[in-house]
Amino acid sequence: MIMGRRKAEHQGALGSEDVPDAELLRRHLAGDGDAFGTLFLRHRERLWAVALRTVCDPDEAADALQDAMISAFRRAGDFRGDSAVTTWLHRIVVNASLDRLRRKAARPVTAAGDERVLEAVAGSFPFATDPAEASGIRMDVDSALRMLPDHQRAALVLVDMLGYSVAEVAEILGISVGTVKSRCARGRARLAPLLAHLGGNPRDASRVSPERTEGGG
Amino acid sequence: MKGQRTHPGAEAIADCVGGVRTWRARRVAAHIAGCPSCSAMGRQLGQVSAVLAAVPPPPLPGDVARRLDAALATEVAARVASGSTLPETSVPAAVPSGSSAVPPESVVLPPGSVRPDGQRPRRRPSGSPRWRVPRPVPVLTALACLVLAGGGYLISQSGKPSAVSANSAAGSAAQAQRQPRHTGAAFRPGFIEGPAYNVRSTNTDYLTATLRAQALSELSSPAPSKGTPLSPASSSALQGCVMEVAGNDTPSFVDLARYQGRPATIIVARDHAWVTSRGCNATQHGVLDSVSLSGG
Repeated sequence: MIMGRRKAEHQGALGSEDVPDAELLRRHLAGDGDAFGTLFLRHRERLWAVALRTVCDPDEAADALQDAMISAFRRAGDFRGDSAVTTWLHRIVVNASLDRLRRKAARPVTAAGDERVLEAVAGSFPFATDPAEASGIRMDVDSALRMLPDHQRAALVLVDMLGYSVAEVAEILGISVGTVKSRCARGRARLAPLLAHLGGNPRDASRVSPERTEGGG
Repeated sequence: MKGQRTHPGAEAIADCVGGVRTWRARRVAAHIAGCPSCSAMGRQLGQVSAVLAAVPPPPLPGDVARRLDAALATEVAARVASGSTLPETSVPAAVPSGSSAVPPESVVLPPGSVRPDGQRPRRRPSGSPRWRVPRPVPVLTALACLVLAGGGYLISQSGKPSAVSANSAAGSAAQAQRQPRHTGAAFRPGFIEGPAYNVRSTNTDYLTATLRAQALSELSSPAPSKGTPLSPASSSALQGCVMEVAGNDTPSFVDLARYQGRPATIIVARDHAWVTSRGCNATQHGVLDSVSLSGG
């Protein structure tokens, strides 16, 4: 179940007169031509963030989101109701994004430093003091995220960047809670030396290696 | 060796801090509790989460929103045209199976090009937007082939706002106004003989209170020369909708936009504007709102 701050955003965006997601999906299945559009409109901003942060490329993200939207439209009958509609939508988007990444692996990657990509992926940093600093931070975050294995990035993006709970992400990704925790932990460990200058003082970047022995300890 | 101290690696600390249950978790936790260096490392890992959380979600770009709206309109129209009340299920989809997601077949249309073979181009010009028209259903693909074989199907597109003249031969508004309305010649499923009006996808959110002003504003803006890709099915459905809703009024343009935040079709003639649902067609054409554009 999607909860927390997203729920508040969701309710704020919908207003009290809007029907629940599940009801919209039911109406869509019954032939209502507007129901799916209304449902998707509610969530597409957040689904866009999921796709973009997962694939780190706006063109690929747009493709992934459109693929996912059409899949959900056509396969709405497959929704069994054992999870929230939003969880189901997120799962489709993540899977479409990961599939894009798999196919993209066989093609040349987007040139590093593409400002359009960086801006789209990283957004703006509220703690940046000037545009140059913000741009630098964006490049750092984007570059760092690209260093992660796809599945680690997907988990970390959902938990740390988009604020989903570990349990929600487990449901979205179809993996165990422990696996989500592990992927996030390993992702943070990889990012720590790359982002240390943004969030604090890196004490020892070399300790990403398994173990380290200090003398005189 | 005496005097040496072995510290757990960052991944072990990350596992511990992140609540991952491992065989060494208890030992690592005990070590962190007594080791300032590893405690600092734990805090540093926490700061990674803080940095990532500080990045605001990127807004959905307008061109992507319009593209999604157009793709969804195509899906809805295809569904209406097929007469199905249930979504198509024969197309491979990004099912939430935890495995790979197979996207639906689609056609990528680079700017200004027509893809009669329905194949995705290998590369696109750098920096150019990609517009993809989902292939609705096999029967509609066959209809599209018929149209393409007839040479009457022109799809062109550009940035925002976008528009399409679904029939290059009948693209002249003056010619369209001479056409008899509500005749079989004006609407033949599978062969696009109209519409001779401009179809846009501006992503404008028309509102009840400002519908008239918004329609007049769009009406006074120059018609985009290139535009939104429409499948034969969606074009036919739209044409049927327009004929039923606008009656004897010749539309100046149709906007696949939003109304009160929801996907809607805005039909604007010289003296009147109507709002219908996206699923509007010749048989289902409920008007959600309308306004007169004549007078002050």
